Amino acid sequence: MENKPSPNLYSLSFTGKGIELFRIQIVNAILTIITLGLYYPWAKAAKLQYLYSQTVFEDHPLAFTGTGKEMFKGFVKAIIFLIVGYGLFLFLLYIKQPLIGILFFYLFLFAILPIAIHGSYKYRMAKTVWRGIRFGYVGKRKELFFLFIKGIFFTIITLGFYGAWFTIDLRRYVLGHIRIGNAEFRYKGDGAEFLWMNFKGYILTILTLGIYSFWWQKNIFDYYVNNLELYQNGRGVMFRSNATGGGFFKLLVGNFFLVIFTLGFGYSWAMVRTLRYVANNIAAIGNYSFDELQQSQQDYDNATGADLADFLDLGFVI
Amino acid sequence: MYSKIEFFNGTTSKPYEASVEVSEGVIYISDPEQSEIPVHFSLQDCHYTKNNLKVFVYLNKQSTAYLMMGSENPTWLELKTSIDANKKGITHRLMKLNWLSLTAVLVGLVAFLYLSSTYLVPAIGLKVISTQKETVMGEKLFNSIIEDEKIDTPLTGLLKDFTSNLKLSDKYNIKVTVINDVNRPMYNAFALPGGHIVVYMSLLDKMNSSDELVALLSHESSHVNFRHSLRSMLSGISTSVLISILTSGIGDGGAVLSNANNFVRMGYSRNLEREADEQGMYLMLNNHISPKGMKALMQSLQKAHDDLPSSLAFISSHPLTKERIKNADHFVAVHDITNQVSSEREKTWHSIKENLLQ
Repeated sequence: MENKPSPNLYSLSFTGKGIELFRIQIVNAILTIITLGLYYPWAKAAKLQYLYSQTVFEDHPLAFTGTGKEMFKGFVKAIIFLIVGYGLFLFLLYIKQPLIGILFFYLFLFAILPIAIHGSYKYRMAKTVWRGIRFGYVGKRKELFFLFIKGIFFTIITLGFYGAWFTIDLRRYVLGHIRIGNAEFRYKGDGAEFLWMNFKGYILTILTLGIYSFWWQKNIFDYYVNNLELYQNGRGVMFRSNATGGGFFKLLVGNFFLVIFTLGFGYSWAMVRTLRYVANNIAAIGNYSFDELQQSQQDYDNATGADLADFLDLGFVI
Repeated sequence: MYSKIEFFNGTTSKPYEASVEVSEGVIYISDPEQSEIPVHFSLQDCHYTKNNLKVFVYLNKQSTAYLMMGSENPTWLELKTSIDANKKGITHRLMKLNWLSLTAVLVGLVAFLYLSSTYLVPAIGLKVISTQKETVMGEKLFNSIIEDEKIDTPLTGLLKDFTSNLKLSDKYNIKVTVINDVNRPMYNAFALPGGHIVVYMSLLDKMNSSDELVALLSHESSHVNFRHSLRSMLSGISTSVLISILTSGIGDGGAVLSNANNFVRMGYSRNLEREADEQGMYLMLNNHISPKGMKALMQSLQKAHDDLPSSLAFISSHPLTKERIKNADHFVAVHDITNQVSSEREKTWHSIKENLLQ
């Protein structure tokens, strides 16, 4: 496989089935009910374990090794963290300091976002394994925090325009600090390009009464995937998207009907369709030997950030 | 010839061809390329994933070391049996159930919890909360509602006089208030826990006789006497807490659940209305007034709603009012009496009407 002159194509796929995910969701629901909600972290772990195990890159599935117990601990810490923050805010209001209270509230909110993102990447990556090799996130919380402060500041004073650069900076930082073993990811997006793409998407969506939104969605997806690379010792692969606007149309409209007409029970199938579409439309191109990865990332069991992100409904991918 | 077994040792991503042996809860793996001594893993830590025609047997909790082989490989069957035998716990048992049993468990659980939160929790709540506490709570509610409304003091006074001649409750002190809603007609009235009854001016305006007003007050007093608002609040709170717990776990099914809950709640409040109608008519009988007044009140209500702008008109075509009129008819057929006219009440009624005209 090494040093081939022509580049190879490496494929990603999702092999999960709606009915299998649905069964997991039903079991999760039963146990969540019995435990009055306490099972939630275990339910999440079971779902993630299934979804990861069905995501296959080059014939090998990903594995999620996080546990309900870890996420439960994180869940408790996240709750305490939020209660203390909110309690302080209420206390400031109580002692008639609304201005300081509101200032504190926003600072708390701004501070919590990078903490949640950092923590959730650190945990999730440490718990993602492929071919026996752990992923890892090596970003620094402080750096992400300052990136946030800068981003929010400029976004506010430019009335939102800087938002595009902020998003891409954040993505570049976070994705650029992801490792799999001793290989590094890189993201090379650009704020101006991203802004133009979204501006065009927005205008055309209005002009076409919404129809263009699927192509806009495709462009956003492409921009994410096509700027991603994986390197190790100077050799690497580039990720390429094969998604189409028509494909997104079929996926999203189909999912809409799938969920609505089943009163929500079709959600598992909609999720599987989405993951299948995403995975099937991402490929890696290049010359790389996936046999040469070395285990070099540390395990990390603290799920507080991941649970905070869950509370804030941040979603995993930025 | 079976497909080969590949072993990944968790140090590098390189596969090694290996042979596998299972003995007394331990998996021994020997790979000729690496070492002479076989590496071993406890079966307890093992789990597996199937994908297409391949199986992946993870050998440790971190999933770093694993075996990959074809699903036709006899070693796989042997490993599967040993690993499955080690799996215990409720999750695995549930995962093994067939669809019918699984659905039955879920439906049974949801139904049990739902029924207990709708009926059991309110029943306990009603026992625990004394009438005094209820009155204090109702007073607080009343003050917070009334804060944003304009009270019509003369009409409130007149309605108080009107009510003072009626026997509406043994346990609660019935306190009436009239709200001025001339700018935004509500055609409504409601009762709060502990005895407050709030009547909107627009509704008084639509009434055609003092009997209708007695019917309204009897209906609302029945809500108070049978603690309907408290009951409905308790069941509302307990089901919404339950649903928020369920939705956090189920995620997707949650939407179905909260929609279903809305339907059930609508039915629940309809039942309370039906009970208030019936008990209200008994109160009318106690006050020697014909229950025909209830029917007349319903008809006035329906007419008021018919006058609403078309966006709200669908409410009037609601079968609920028709059904309530029918129920009142049945009640009248069995229980009707001749009205004992009270000149004082009629006088107050006319004053109310005159006041409304001003």
